[in-house]
Amino acid sequence: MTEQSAKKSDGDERTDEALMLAYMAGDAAAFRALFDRYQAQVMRLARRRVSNDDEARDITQLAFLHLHRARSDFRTDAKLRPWLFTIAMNLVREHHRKRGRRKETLLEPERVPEPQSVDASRSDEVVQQVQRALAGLPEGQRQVIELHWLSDLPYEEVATIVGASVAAVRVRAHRGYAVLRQLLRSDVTNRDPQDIG
Amino acid sequence: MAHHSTHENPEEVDALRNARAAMERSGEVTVGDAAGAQEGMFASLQRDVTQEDSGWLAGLRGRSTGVRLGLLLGGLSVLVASRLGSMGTAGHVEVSPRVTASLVALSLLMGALAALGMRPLHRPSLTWRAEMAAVVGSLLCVFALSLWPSFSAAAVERAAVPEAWRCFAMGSVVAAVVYASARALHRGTWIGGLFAALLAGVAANLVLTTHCPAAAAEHTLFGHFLVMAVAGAAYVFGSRLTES
Repeated sequence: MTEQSAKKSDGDERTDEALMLAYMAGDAAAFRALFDRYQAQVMRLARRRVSNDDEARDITQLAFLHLHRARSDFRTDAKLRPWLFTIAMNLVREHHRKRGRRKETLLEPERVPEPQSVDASRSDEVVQQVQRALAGLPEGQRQVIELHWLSDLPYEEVATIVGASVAAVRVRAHRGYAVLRQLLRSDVTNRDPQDIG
Repeated sequence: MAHHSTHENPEEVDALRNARAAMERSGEVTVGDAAGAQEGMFASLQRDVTQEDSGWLAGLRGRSTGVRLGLLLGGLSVLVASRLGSMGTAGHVEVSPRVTASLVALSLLMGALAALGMRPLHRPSLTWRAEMAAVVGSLLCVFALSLWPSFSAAAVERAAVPEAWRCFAMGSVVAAVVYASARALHRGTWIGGLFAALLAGVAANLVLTTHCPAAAAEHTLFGHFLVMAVAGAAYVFGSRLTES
């Protein structure tokens, strides 16, 4: 989500950083605006990494609580979004530690199967292919791809979140995209050509 | 996709476009918002925030990382200074190379563990290997110091196990106080808590080094090092119990 669209969706024209500074100054509504702006993104980020919606919800709520706890560390020259996403990624990692370091790589939707149109069915199939392909990537590449490709973060912010240089992140992304494309192609070529459309 | 221009190779965008579109349709990427489904979570978050701010520790935990680390290091410095002062007046601990090296090493270790435990929440956490290296390294450091041989006659006199238990009891009290102080400044990550427990164990070892002239391995292992090992183990098993 771009900053522009984020503003439109929550109706607050202030930047993330302005909202955070306002919250630090005592404006409780600014925290609500930040929550509205990023709750869905953080939830999806967590959901890709944990086994069910409840766990993703817990991580999302805790991420915002940690944002509150860490508010006095926020500086005017910092960017808020990488802050929040780093907190969320750290919480996901801690969640896996609590679960015995079990690597939960595949997202398992807790959806009751419903009758779907052919298009919706194909769409779900592609989603599963992507999830399988992402799960097949080395962790460092997967992290970068998820943040850049699926969460729409620029490389500079991804670098801040994963604690690496922008150059290193670009290299990981380049390799990751190449592998991902290959994995997706091989998945597609294994299917009936009529299904590909 | 908002950042096409930042891709190194535009072909990648083309190759992945269909997959991305499918992900968007499924709601797996950041399109639209989840307004309406957020109220319950925000209400719960608000309760957490209110609870967080109402405790008597809120004033400490709400401080910046620099201030909290400064407070912890300041407290530890007072502890070290007071013990060094008591060494000079009591005079029952011989200031040997072993004691001097132990005090320097334990002080540095306390500083490192304090910094690790106070690592800001918004910074990427260390890798699991780096964290385990810090945990094992700090334990090995104190373990090695407790094996450092001494040729003092006092070491022989105080090597008995009952004496070791007295040191263990005293060290445990010191560790409990330091742990409680560190946790009061802490923002609640699991690994930060483990570093706080190890820090408490190191502080206990430092106090015992300045208090107890014994240096026989059997005494220092059971009376001194064991405090740190138990502090770490108690934290690990205690947190597992509360999590389950």
